[in-house]
Amino acid sequence: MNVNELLQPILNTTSPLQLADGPESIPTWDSIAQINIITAIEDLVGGELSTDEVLSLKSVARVVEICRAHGVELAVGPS
Amino acid sequence: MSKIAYIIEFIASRNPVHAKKLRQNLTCLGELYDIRAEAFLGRYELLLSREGRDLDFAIECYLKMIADFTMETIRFRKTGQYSSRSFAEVNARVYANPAVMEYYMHGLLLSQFLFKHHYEMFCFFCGELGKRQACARHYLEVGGGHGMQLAEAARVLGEGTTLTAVDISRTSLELARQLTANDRILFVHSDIFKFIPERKFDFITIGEVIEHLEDPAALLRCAAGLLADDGRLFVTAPTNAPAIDHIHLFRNAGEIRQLILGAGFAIETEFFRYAEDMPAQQAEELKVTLLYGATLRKAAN
Repeated sequence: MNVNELLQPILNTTSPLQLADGPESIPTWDSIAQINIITAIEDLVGGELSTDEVLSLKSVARVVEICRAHGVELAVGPS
Repeated sequence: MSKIAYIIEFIASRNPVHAKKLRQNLTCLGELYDIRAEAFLGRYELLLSREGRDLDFAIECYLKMIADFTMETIRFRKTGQYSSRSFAEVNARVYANPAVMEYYMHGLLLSQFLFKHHYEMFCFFCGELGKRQACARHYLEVGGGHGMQLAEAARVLGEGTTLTAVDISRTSLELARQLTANDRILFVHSDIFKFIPERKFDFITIGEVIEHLEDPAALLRCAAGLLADDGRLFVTAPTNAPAIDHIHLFRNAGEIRQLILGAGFAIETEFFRYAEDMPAQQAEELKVTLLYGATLRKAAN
């Protein structure tokens, strides 16, 4: 799966996401989107994220790292 | 830089998503908000400094509380239930745990000025209390928590008015005692169901307490017994508000109204706000927290 496929519907954007993107650069990455991103990751990896993982989720790069730590590799770049 | 601006900058360095929400929510509250927030935070900093602490400590507490809320919200989205089911469970997890109680109380205290819906409910409380200023001779607060409303009651109600706060948590009572710094207030460490006062009360406040109980109706019936016949009960409670110490899940404001009416009260005025700025239908669909507040009188028999 590509990281854009996971995050673009939640963030309501069609623009390709960059690893450095986060709440500051994406206007729609708000507190509701944050919860949706976490639950989408949990559904994808089939497990619960730890509090530390949840609190550290501040960028697209971190989404990729957390998925990788749970055994799911997300492709980066245009989908 | 104002104290509120400093707090938001601090939060942004740790939780940018939450800081974004605060910036959006707090920019439109007006001049009175700015004045009240700065005055309160000035007093709060003095309190903290007496304990050798500073505002950074309070912000750290607030961030821990927000982390708890986030984790509880994620689980709530999946299960549709609060994580705690019994008072005994919450007591062990929170109330009897001074370290948790400390960060939770300081976090909640800051939330009174950082959560838009908390601040707006506080404004509603101030207005409702003001209406009863002339006739409230005996004031009672049940589960006074951080003491914000108690401090307002002590400020607004005349010197002849008695003020009593009953709380099951020593940590809450101590924080409220320090925040209010008022010798007129009698602080009672007791289970409200075992509290036997010398008189009835003209105004009772139960702010965000009933959701902490297994049987919220029992507390409202207890309050009815403590309230003078022409007195008023001010009660607030949230719907869909997963938190480490919430037990009773109200799914909508209608369930709270039903509880109130069933306990023998009539609703005089009410006020509610969602925790997120969005259309009501969307907020209902997403199960966004709604904070409900009402002033009640005893229903005619």
